Amino acid sequence: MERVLDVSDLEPPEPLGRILDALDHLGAGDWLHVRHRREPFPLYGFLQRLGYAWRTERTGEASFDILIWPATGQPPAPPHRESC
Amino acid sequence: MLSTAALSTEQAPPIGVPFAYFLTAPWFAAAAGLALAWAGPGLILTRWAPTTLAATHLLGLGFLGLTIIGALFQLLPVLVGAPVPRAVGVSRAVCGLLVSGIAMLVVGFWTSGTQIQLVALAPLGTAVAILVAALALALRRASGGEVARAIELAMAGLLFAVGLGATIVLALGARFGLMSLPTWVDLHLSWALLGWAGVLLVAFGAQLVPLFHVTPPYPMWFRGGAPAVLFLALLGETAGHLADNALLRGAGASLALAVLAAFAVLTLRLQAARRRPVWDPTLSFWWLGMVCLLGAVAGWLLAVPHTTLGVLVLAGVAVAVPSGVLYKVAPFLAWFHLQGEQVARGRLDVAVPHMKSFVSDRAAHTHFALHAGALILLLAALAGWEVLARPAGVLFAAGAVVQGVNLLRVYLRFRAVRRQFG
Repeated sequence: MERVLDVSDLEPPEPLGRILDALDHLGAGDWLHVRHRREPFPLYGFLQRLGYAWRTERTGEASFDILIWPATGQPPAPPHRESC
Repeated sequence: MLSTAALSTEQAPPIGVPFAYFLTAPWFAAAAGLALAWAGPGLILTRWAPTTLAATHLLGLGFLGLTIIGALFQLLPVLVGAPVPRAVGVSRAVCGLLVSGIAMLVVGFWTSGTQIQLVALAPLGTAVAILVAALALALRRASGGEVARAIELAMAGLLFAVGLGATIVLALGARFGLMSLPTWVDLHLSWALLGWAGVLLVAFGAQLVPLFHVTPPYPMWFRGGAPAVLFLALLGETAGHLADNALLRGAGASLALAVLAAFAVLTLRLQAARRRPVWDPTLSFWWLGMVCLLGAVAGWLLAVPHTTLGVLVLAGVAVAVPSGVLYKVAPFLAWFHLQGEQVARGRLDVAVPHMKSFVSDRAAHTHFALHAGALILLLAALAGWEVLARPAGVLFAAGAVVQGVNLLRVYLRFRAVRRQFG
């Protein structure tokens, strides 16, 4: 099941802290869908150490979707976006 | 753009890499303040005095150069996902060579000792060569984008600035003639302050202001184009000098000033529109820097003396803006590395302090008040109250000492908490 976390309006280091907190509470079979205003390069080292895989997609000038799931699991489908 | 798990485990360099630069830089600024307090008004009333050359290089190379280079080691992985290869060894070599080279150069200027200035070129040139090679290697692995391109331009600007400066020192030391020494000095100044520091100010500012102050992004046309336009403007100005073409020279300078003025106005507007209307010391430094930048642009148009422009650009912009950014970056790095230790060791029992607790707003604002006070006294001294030059130097040095202590406290707190991880 997808858990959505929007950190677009947060000042550093809150996005990183909130994402790590959310991963702590991720249930079995769940994945995290993070909405961010920039690509969070510093996050990736943490994800690797904690055993998560991720996929980042730029969706706008200042918006990124990051899908995070346990590296041992199946990657989730890309997030659904409304078409115009 | 789609990126997956292709990045290295350790994106960030060890905290000692940027902090070696951040903890050293303020003491060069303090030395510049003490130089003014010692030498008095003669230091700011002409750009040619030996003490003036010493003080400007203490600020431009010692404070600004070290701060920028420390930030580059840290920001390359964060902004473009490209760590500097062998960051620890490269950073130690560059830092050691720069510090010894700057010290020799400054002593050479202060004492008018051309031989020691010539000797200083060896460590400085080696440091720049190592730095540029390491950054070029890192940028080959960058995910591209406007920041990577701007850093490449700034590297070219640095090479121009160092090449011009070295040529001037060689000419004066070896006593071979340079046609129109003031033109060489003007070009050296332009490339150092605008081609190297200015390009990075515009490029990093467009990333760091939205990042740390949660503002809307700078317009794409500005982020993508401003560093390149600034660089091209300087090329035009340089060509105008070489061809003795006043029109080309003026057009290049005017274009560069337009980019800088646009950056200042955009920054002030975006910061006014930040999503969290909280005032912090970083904003104080940014606003001081941007007002001084606009003042310098207006001053250039009104043909105010070079010394006034120099004070506005060096003390007003080149010291104030990096100082403000350091009050965000240094605590962030301390928090980030402690968070990394916590995850790596699985020690959730050790609490990582909140980022804002590493340095208090009060301590940072004390630094700001001293720096702003020094700037006001400096401008008053230039306006005719020469007696204020020495007090300005004392205040300037005091501000830099407070900054050095504040940054040292961040690092010592980091080490104290890290020891708890065992």
